[in-house]
Amino acid sequence: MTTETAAAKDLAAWRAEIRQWLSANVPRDLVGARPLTSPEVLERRRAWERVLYDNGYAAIHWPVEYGGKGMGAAHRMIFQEEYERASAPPRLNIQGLMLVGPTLMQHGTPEQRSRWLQPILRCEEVWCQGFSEPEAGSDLAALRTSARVVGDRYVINGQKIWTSGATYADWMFALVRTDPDAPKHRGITAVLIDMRSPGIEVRPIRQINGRRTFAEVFLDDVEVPVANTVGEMGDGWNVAMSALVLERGIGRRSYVKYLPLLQELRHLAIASGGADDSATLEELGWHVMQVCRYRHHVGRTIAESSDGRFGPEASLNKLFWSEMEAAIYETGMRLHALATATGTEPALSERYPLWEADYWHARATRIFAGSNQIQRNIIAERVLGMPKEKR
Amino acid sequence: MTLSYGSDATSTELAAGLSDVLSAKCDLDHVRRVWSEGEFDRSLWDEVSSLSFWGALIPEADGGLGVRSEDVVRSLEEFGYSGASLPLTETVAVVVPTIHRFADDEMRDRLLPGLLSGASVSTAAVMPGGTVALFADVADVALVAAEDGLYVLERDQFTVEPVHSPDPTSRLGRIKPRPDAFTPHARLGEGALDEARLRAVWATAAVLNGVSRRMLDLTVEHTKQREQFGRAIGTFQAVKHLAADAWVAVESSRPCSWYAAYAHQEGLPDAAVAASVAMASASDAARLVGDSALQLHGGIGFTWEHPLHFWLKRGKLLEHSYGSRQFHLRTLGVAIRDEQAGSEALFADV
Repeated sequence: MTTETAAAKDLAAWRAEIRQWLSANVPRDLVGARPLTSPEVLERRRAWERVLYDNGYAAIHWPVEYGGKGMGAAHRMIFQEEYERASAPPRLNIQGLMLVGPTLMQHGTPEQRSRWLQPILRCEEVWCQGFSEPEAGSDLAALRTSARVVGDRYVINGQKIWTSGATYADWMFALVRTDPDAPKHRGITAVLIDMRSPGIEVRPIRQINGRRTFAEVFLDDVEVPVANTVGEMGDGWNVAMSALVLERGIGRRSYVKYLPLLQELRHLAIASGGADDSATLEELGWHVMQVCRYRHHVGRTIAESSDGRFGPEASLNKLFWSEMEAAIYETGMRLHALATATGTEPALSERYPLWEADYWHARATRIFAGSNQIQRNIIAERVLGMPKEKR
Repeated sequence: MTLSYGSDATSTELAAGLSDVLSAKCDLDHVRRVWSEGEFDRSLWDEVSSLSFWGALIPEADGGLGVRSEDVVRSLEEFGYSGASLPLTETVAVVVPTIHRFADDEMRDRLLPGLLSGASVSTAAVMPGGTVALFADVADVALVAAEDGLYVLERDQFTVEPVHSPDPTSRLGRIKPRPDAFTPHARLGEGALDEARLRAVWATAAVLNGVSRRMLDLTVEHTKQREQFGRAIGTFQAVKHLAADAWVAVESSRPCSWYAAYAHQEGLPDAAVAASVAMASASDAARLVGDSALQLHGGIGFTWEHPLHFWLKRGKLLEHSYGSRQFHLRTLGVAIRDEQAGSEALFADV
């Protein structure tokens, strides 16, 4: 029924509807507002999320019964393309909308769905993801944060790290170890933790670009109801794996996100006097090619997914865009340095610090959400069927 | 409309029909024989001709199959995958549809029946500044680019000088028109050259992606069989990562040739950009896949006996036919220099 509803709506009409609505409603003062996580900007971003909700655009991919539009991947991608074309503010509750909500729909109890889904949709509760730990990065299953069952509660101790949005999140979707004696993939449980709980301390991490978008989260005797378990106790690894496919999958970024970056490279190449140099032309052409490849890879994946679900091929998506993005920023660093040296366009110099900060961030994308080396392992083993290595 | 990227029934059925014939008649022994004997593979040519494949892109009323450009992309991949040595790309994707659209009635009536039946073999030399063509010495009909447009030359109007290429079975040769060959009558209508070029580029990109897929499959198979240190070498991450990157390269290139054919068929403003993207990415992928394939095969890949080199050399030929990677990247660089990044000439709305 869901798919039929979505298919019935013509894609071009949908694009036109979204384009028009966004151009009339995206708050101009939020476009390019920095820093994105200052209390004042956060407040305006919450208000914008509320506007999206009021107009039915908060989570178009969610089933109708949970307040979405039940739209499939093709409609979602069009929404994402138009959202990025309109330079609309980054979605505030990505983890809630893309990860926690769909995971609760798949693994949660009816009580959990009625408790948490609506507040995610209305952006009343913002979520962060608590998977990584200092000793559990690529080897996620090595995580140590312990959850002891005491009566109807867990008592949780440990540390999470690289948590995006931890400073303002209301809830954390976390993996904890409930059985220290089980094989390492078996003793893990997925729990929902109230970030206001006593015993939680959040320490922002100052990153190489000076920003503080990630944090460490310390948990010291934090009490969480056992009722906040997602899926079975001890089955958290499977819950997390289905969630990670969502995190790496299609629908979160379109090629349109890269058009302003290509435009900036173009501008820099012209300003630095390199636009007639054939090496620079080939380099610019290479980035155009990569962005087109990303676009059509995404389009192909959507065309081939009959039920809106994606398999290990999702690893290509994350691997491709993160490498592409890092390469674009790399060229930009060269052209910025060149444009600075020639000094022809002072306005460009003002953009340089922001480009540099984004450049370092683009390097992080090769590591987060499963490092690109892990993505290559997944492709080799699950797509190409190469033999598993003992790990 | 949702773009199918070749997952639709027309594309897959056409590709399956061609693939059935190619896998039955063009196994490894057959490929080896063609490489060692040095003769044009007339028997396989006749087999494919019996499928009525050559007219795939012209209307049924004119003796074709009437499918759209993008519907042959999967078939072209299967052809590249098979290792067959035929002017298949040129015939189905370039010569037949270009003559059908741009030739006058007399020329169409004279040439098309032979081209459709397979009685005539054809080729195309359509890129700027070059007159070399694949299968030049066996071509009865050749499309040849000149400064003022595209000409159709018949066998007695040109001679052929063989030139070196990594893949002798593709019979690369320089087409040397006789002095009186470029007559007004032999010249195709306005726009024929651009059209033929676009077609040759996206179609060759699709074939090259098929070549890359075959190299990758051979390589992955090898890493599962070959043991060192007491285990299959495919167990090692150093090997896995090369294979994974090769897979990413070819899988991210394949949808680009489909889209380029689609953009061309639809007359989208980004058709020229899409063709260059298709060819540059297919070349990128072929180079990466070929490098990793040879590396991961180790010593055995360097033997004449192992079949890998047939596809390596086919890839190396196609990488530099119909515009090199650099040529197409510069084309794209010029496109973004001269247009805004968000313009429809680079990224058309679909």
